[in-house]
Amino acid sequence: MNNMREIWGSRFGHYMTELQKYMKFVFTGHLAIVMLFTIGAGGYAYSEWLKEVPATFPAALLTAVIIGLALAIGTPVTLLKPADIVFFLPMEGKLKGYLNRSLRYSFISQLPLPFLLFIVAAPLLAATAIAEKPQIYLTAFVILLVKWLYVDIDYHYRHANDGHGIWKDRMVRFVLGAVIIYVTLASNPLFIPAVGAVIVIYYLYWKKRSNEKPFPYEHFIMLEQNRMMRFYRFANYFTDVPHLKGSVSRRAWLGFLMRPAKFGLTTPQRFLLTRTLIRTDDNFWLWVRLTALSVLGIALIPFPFVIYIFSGALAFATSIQLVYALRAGNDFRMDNLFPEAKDTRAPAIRKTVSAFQLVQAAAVFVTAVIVTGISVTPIIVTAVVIVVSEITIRFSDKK
Amino acid sequence: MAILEVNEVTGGYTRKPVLHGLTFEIGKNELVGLIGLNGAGKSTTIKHIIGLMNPHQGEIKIGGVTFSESPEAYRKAFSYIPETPILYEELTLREHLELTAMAYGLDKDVFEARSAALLKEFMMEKRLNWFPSHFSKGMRQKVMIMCAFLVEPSLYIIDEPFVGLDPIGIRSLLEQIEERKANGASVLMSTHVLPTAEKYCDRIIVLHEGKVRAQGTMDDLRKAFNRPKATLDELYISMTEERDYEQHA
Repeated sequence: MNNMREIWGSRFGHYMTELQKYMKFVFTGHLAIVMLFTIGAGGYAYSEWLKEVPATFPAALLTAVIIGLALAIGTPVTLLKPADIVFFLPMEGKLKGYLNRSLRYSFISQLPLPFLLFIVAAPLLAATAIAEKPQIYLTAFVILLVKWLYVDIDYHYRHANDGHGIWKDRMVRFVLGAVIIYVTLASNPLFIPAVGAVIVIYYLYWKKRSNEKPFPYEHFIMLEQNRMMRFYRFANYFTDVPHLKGSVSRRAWLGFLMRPAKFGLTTPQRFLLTRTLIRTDDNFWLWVRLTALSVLGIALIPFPFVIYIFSGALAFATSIQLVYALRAGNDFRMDNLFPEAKDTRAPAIRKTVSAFQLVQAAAVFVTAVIVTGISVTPIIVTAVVIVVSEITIRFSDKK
Repeated sequence: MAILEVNEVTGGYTRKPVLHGLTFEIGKNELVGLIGLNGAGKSTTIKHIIGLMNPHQGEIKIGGVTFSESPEAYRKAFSYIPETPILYEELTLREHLELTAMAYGLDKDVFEARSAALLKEFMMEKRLNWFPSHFSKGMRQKVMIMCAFLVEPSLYIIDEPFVGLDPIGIRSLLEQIEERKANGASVLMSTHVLPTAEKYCDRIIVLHEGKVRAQGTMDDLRKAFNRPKATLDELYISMTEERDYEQHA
């Protein structure tokens, strides 16, 4: 297969199958329910707020900054593999056909984020009487053009600098992007071509610079590997991704939660599992995220009944995912050989997750007391978290 | 009395057995080498012995008990060093040792004394608070070796221990094995490093296609292969040629 276009085509096919394989789990997972709740609650709060938003609210500026950020971020999807550094090297001249396709896909895949944010911002812009319909369409068109240029600039900048100092480029593009969105919204149509010209000059400059340099395989391959790792890590929250090496951090500041070894006749499973839970980034941040979401829900949702359901759903999602994460895998571990009369791991998993859920319940209780004062709501919501967690832990126990 | 008795064991991953009527014993104070070509069934044999696989037929006893009679006593009687180091990425070196000590019910004093000696022997004292991700292949192997030796069981089962270890590490390992043997322990060691096996092992078991092709001291093996002056290397190669001959015949 010498044709670079064919290579891109077949890799892209594989990539899409891989994405679909895992996205299936993402959209059917527990977190999907949580997201639904969050979006629903967020949307409701937003629409309520729009009814009373003051006319002086700096909607144009806020929109420009947020869209500017969304335009500036995003990394190219090159689908390059480590072996390419050897096998593509003699074909550098033909790399262009491959990369053009890769950049076209990068553009299409990065477009939804600024557009979605803009759609969310549109009612706010209408409510503060900043933008009329034609202006909304014009802004959408500007977003499209700017993103199209930005994907290329990002690529050429990385190419020219071996990927060093990409944050400088992002800062420049963020400022330019925010300014062009702002002038478009603030009805200064004359300024659009002016800022646009600056962006085009910036683009041409880096394009010229990148042409002077050989293709930095190492940078783009590393970038691609990190990108896929992020995706796998994300997918790993919903299903078991094979070969994924979860990263580990010491988290010495939580040392007080990790009790020291107790010698003599003890079971070491709690010693092991507490450390697994706290130090494996995936598990730990999963717990933190879901707990934070629960706390946020209590702070933002005005109806106690919805709070109970929301926090209960999160307690369920947290407990079940932690139990599965700790149980994970049929891989051989040394504790499979530990001399024990009966299985001590399953009860240790129950106890460890229970302990973590008590901390979640405590966080929920404190927030509820702060938000609602001393009333029945904190007591009920805490009880819901504890009861749902315990039931989940016990019922998920059976293999 | 034999520490390990493998009696007419037939077994494998699927219904089709890999091991066919395997029989051998390891006595007290013995260092026995398990050798054989790739795919001869060494790892499968070890998996059966450590209780990760159940034999289809036959039985295995460690210290006189089978796994089903008393899993706890069976497991307590041996420690195992796998071919590829299997560590907990989330535990430091110190915690690996502590975990092992807890699992095998060591007292704090015993633990402190034994681990200090091992850490010194394997030159790992300065890495107590390191996580495995910062260890080289050889260091990971050393962690496994230290955990296994910390327990001081009556039987050590060691799968291909020399790969990845530096020369000093290999020397330390062999010294440790000799020392444990002197204190009454037995060792079953699978390896491809034949000169070392020849030099250190009291007996050698040659596995071939899931059967014991020959076993005994070097002299016994020389007789069995009818090569009076051969080294273990030469015996091994001649077995390979025999197999080639069988395949071509």
